[in-house]
Amino acid sequence: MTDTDHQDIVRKRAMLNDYVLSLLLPGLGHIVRGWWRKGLLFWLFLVIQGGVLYIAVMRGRLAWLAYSASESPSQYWFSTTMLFLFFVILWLWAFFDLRRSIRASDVETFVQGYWQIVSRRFSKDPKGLIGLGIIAIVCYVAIFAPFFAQGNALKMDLVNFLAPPSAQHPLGLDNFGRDVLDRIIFGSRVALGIGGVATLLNMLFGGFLGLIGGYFRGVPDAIIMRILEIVNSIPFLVLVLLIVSLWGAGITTLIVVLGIFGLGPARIIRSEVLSVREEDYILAARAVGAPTLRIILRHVLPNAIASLLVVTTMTIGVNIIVVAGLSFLGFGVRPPIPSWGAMLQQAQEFMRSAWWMAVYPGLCIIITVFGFNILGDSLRDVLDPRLK
Amino acid sequence: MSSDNILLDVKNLKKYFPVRKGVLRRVVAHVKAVDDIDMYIKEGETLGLVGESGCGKTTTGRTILRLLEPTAGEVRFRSKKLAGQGEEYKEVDVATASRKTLKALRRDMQVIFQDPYSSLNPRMTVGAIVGEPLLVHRVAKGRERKDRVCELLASVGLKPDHMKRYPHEFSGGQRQRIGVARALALDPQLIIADEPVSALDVSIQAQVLNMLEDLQEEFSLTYLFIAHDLSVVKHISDRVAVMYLGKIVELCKTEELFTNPKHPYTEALMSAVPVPDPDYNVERILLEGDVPSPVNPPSGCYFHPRCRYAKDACKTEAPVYRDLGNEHFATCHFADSLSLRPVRTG
Repeated sequence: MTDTDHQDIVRKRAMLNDYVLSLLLPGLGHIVRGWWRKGLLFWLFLVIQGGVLYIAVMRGRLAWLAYSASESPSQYWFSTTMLFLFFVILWLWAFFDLRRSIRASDVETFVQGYWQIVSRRFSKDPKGLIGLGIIAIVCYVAIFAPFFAQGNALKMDLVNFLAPPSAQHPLGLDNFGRDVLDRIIFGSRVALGIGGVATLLNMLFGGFLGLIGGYFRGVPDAIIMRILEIVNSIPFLVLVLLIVSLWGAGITTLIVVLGIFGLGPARIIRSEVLSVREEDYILAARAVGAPTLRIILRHVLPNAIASLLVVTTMTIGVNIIVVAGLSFLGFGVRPPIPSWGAMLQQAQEFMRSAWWMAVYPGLCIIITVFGFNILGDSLRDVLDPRLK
Repeated sequence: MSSDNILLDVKNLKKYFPVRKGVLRRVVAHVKAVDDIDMYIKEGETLGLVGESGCGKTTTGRTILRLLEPTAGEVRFRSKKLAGQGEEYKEVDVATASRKTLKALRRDMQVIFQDPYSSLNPRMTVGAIVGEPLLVHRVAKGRERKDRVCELLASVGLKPDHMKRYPHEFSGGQRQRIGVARALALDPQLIIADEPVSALDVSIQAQVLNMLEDLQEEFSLTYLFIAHDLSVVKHISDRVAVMYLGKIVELCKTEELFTNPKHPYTEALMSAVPVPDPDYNVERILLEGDVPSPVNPPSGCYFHPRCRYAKDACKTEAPVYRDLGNEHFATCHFADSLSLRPVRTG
């Protein structure tokens, strides 16, 4: 056996060792290899996940633990499944990230793709990290709401209604004696759920229209732009009032209205596509004989993805505000379901006596929307297509 | 003219861009970017196309490829790949070809772009860029395609492991080589090179030019070489066409153009060629005024307001593009009688 053969075997054995370590505990493989930052990041995730699991177990709220208690376990299934899904993802992610990093460090010429450059730049941008942090916290709260809440989101305490913040109810009680903190925790589900789904619809509809209009120009573009102008010329609240009075208020109505009539992204995507389609590589693809669908999917879309992502994050923020505004006006989510906007509306009458009813939901809206906005802002810088 | 080995024959090709104005977007005028041009390219030769910026060189190239729809005219192309059994070639009019024929023709006519920075998709790896033509035309797939891409990269002087990289990791010259590899992928007969070296550093220009010459020999390619740099054109072309304001004013063998120009515009253009001799005192012919607008070209001969030999006839009568013998074409009333100054080289 030659010397190089021997070295090769030693190296391979060490690599195998690291993989096993990573499977034992996510991040351990990274730390052994000397990638401290990444390893510690995985450990941080692990600690957070462990914390959530601890809370859930201590309160007996994992779905099958709840059977023994007198409560119905159905409300815990979603959170429980997500919790274990997150653990699986964490393990797999650590393993595959380690494998990719080891391979990348082995190859002589390390190839850096666009997304690697983007993530490197993003990790150096405090603005984006703060935004992402805020959004991650809100998402965690929304997904694991039943673990965190004390179970008093709907339960009324008619003796102590309007009680100020105390050790038992950190953010006080509302006018029906419901816990404000619990309502805020569950309210995050409404905000993110409606905001997220509506934004998804916005991007599907608006993105499609913008793509078609921007790429084909001419008649389709003219028709799409006129439709957008007509929709934009109708006052949004009047439109919502009309539709709510026809279909009745509710989560579905809200999502549909926001999703279909929030066509703002269409214009931004159209303008981006308009500039991308003039690039020489589009012409080159046509010269090669590539079909239109391929040009759109392989050449136009990947080069417009940056602004698409920015618009998406910004739109989520806007939609959360709109949902809160509509709930405030009474066109939103139906009363017993906790939502931040509806909480503000209730708080109106008690502004002088019970400030906690208004301040905390208001702060939640502000912080969440702020998180999405600075993330969008940071993405705009980080995803700059001219980056090297 | 002999017709036996003509690969591409362009007849009366026109490309007008409408100028729209007002609320109703009515067409008020046309930009005559390519205004009735005739030329042919023989198999295996390099035809240079020169002219100042805005004279319609690029538009001519793109209209021939039908990346732009021609307004009028014919572009007859002798395709070998479309030939039926027993035929050596099939003659197709690119200007009126159906979508299907056009797609098939893409395998025979390819293009190299001027700007190596915008002609490569920044989100695709080099392997994907060079392999795309093979994918689109279902020429090769999987392992075979990868091998073919490696071959292509090697033939333009790049390494196989460059395949996995992205365009931004390469220099201008390397990027232009990637563009050439993409054009070669389908083994075309004709390549329209749209100022392939003008965006490059002078030291790199020579490398890329020599590579293009080597490739021409290796793959028996025919080039339509668009450029504005006369020294580049002189180096690479067998024949040269000079364009002015959407028209070809002169077309002849390269040597002939430089020694015996027949059009006053060519003469002026030639006098701008730098001579590598510090003692040689050039008397440059300075053209007065600006290039006229192609929306509203001058009457008669388009060049008459700037021509120092212009006579009354030039203001009213448009000269005809005619053969002066020996494959020398010119668009000037006095092409036979003027004695113009040739360029001094070396």
